[in-house]
Amino acid sequence: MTKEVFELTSLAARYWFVFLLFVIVIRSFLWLGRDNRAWTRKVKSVPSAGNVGEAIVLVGNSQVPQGQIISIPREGDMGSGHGCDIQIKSQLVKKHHLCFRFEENKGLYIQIISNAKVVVDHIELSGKNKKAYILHGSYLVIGDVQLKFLFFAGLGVPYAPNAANEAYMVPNPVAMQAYMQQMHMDNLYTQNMYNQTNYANDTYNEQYVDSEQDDKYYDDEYDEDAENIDGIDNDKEEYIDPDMEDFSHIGGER
Amino acid sequence: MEIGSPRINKKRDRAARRLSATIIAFFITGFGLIALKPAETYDYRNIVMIFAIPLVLYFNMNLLPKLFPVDRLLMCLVSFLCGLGVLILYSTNIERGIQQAVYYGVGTIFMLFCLMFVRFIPKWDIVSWLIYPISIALLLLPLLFGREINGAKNWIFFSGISIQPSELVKITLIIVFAYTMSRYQKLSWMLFLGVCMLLLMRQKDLGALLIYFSTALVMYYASSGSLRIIAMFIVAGIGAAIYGYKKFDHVQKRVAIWINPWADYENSGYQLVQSLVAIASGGLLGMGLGLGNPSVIPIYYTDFIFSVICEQFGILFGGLVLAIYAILVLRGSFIARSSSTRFHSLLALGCTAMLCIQTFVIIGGVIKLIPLTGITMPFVSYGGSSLLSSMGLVGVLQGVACYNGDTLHGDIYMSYMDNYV
Repeated sequence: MTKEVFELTSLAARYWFVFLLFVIVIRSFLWLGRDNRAWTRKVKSVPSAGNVGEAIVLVGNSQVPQGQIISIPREGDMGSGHGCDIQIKSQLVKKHHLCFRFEENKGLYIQIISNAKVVVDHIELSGKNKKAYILHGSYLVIGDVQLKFLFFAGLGVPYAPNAANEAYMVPNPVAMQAYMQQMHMDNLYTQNMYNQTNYANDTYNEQYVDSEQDDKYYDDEYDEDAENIDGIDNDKEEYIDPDMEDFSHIGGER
Repeated sequence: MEIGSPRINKKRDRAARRLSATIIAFFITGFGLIALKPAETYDYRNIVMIFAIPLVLYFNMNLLPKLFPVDRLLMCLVSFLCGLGVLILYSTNIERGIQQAVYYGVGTIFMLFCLMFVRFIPKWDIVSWLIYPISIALLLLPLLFGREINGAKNWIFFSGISIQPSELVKITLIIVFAYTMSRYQKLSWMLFLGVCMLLLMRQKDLGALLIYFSTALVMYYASSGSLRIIAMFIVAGIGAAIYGYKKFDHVQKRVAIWINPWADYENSGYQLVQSLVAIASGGLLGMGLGLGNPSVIPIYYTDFIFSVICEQFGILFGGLVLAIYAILVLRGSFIARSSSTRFHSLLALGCTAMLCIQTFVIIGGVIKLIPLTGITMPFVSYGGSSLLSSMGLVGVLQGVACYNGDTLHGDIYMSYMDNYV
């Protein structure tokens, strides 16, 4: 190729490169947005996921009413500050009063951050870096607020003293309904695919008897848009529950 | 337990395949164009590169996710940026391009190692405490055995290989910060940061110092929300910058060049002036791949690679490359937000912040937005240490993403199964 022809080719190719990069950016952006929305829907559909239990306010104040239920995440901090994972609004509670993290089969490990005090099951902890475990049925007094902690079943949290009869909690019932719906949809989909294969075998249609044709239904490269064998548009939203999308691709395939 | 319809997985696979196909088409065209470039003696390696690099990219974007639990979008974006670096370097110097391709291979292995390391370490206490002395030792090496290059003593040479330890310490630094900040150990991370900054100041590696400091601030603000301490650090940082300006001659020179590079454009301002001229010469769509004259810019292959991209592909293309970095940062932020533990959240945020700050600092320097600092453009610039550290950061991010997926699956499984207990 001569120098002049190469220059012309390179000049023409500029548009192609910019166009391709534009497509890459748009596709990546759409992928990112789709994943963000799907993850948010997923987490909202299973509100108990990531929590280990709940705390009930037994004695409250004007800003933390008695009877209020507070979800306990796996890890975080507790205090009166706005950014705390569990916010207890009280003048007697420091901005970052204590930090906590859940330990399997042991309970909720708490550590006082600031120079403050708490009372756990009638035992006073006063001063920075003091530690304790909160068990199922434990009482925590922080400032002028008293909380009772109850954990979910299956986490192996031991009972607190004088709490042997306290039943473990079950998560949000909405999650169970969503799970049952998803099981039903998965069964329908699997049944639909099974029926297609069985129909092909029963009718001895040459088009379906060919094993290579059968394989295309399970082939990753098969384009679902090319044919609608059963006359149903498989891309219709009504067949899928957007709340139950899988996230195995984020951080890996399962 | 698998949650979700297999059909949805197929749709997502299709989106991933389309994106990777577009990326591969880009590089087949790019290397094909380079192969057509007239030369005195034809190099057979041009033909090999048309197939080799796209094959490697195909492996990384489509086959590797089947073997390892990598985040596919991150993988595609990082593969594109690394491939772009190889393409640009190959178009200007064949040997450098091939060397960068080798570094890319090594970087991918290092990324997988970091991914597995982050995913499978159950307790970080011992690891974090071990990392302290290792990081300090790595930063001491250039002071004891290093050589001064371009005013900074931050390289060590070993059997013909040059290593910049401050690049590798970026990863260990983030792990230490994430661990100590998640445990509210204020004194530990401040002490560690102070020691690192002193050592970097001794090495005169002010670019890395700026990145370490900024990343620490971002992570601390995310972990505590304490504006008071952040303000104190910013004031201290400004004070240190003024001290650095008064103490180091080359800092004064760089600030003078930044204010007016045309005042001494034949000597100290030559590099920046040529960079600006190159960007302007490219215009909106560039001069064309394989055209232009990037070698006019001194050391164009490391600090000024962005100028070469703008010269050959255009400012529009350069803007879209920045968009790729922005999507990378958004993905990292999403991974940090989705983490269930403070430590993993801070780890992901630290990696993302570091990549973001590094990109901003280098591109800002190249376009004369801020003074030049002598750091590299992540994934694109020539250099083994730079590419290794960038891939390591992505590996850590991937590891956190895997951990998030594992814990969400576990939490959902437990919240469903608890109904049967």
